[in-house]
Amino acid sequence: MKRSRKFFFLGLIIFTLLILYSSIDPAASNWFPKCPFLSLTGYQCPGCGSQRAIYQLLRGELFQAYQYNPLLVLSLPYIFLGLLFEIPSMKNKYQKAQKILFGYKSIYIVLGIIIVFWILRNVLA
Amino acid sequence: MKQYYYASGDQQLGPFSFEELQSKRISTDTYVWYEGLADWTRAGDLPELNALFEATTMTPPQPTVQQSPPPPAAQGGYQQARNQGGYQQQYQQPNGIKPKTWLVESILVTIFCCLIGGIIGIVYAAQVDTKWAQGDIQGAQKSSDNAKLWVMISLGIGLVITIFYVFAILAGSAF
Repeated sequence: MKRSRKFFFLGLIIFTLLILYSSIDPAASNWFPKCPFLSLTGYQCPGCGSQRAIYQLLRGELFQAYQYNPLLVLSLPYIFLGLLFEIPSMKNKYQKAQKILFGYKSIYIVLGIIIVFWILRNVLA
Repeated sequence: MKQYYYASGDQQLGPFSFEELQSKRISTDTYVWYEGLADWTRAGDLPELNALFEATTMTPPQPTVQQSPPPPAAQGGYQQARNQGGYQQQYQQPNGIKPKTWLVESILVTIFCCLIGGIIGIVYAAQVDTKWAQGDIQGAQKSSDNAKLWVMISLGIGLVITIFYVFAILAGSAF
């Protein structure tokens, strides 16, 4: 009971966010919070551009989304797979793949990618 | 799902799921053990088992035989059970359930709001897996709890920043 309630609220929040981010362009609106890291340091964080990227993604503009935040777009398949493996039956069915893709080695690779991306996007920009 | 064992007389019975446990004759004085618990514990001392007794508080207490556990050297059944538990911890990990790593949540938090908290979460996620592979169940659980904590902290900070931001805009547009 409690669990289904949790999922209901989570679903409601995600649904609201989807509506919000598909109807308003964060690039053209003041209402969306700016990245605190960027505001404070002047450097982009690994997540900068995510809101604008989500807006573009929801409109089907994959390339535009990629330009705002390539990391977000590239990590989507991995995130979806990770969520899929949260379902116990899926996890059991693809145990080996789950172990390889979400084992500690992969996790450290993910961490490395995020940090390298963080540095590069500031150096190359 | 947690697998419970309980002691009846000199015997160790189990494993049972919580649901199965409900149909057993367990009193607050019955000794219970599950993986992750350091020692056999009175069921009445485990808050999670309170539900078992809510309906049966009127039944008379069990005979005093079970009131105190025999000293470690003499508790054949208990000792055996504990050894089995240790054995499981070391060699039978695939049967247990690995604590949640919170990796996906940590990545999402990193990308969407709070990179520091998210990155700490990712490090803890890796620790869950490393410790689990070493058979350190409690350590893995602890890392999992830490990963969750940092995801929640990040979410909280993100939420607070968003609310402040929206209020700041509201205040700005009011003038």
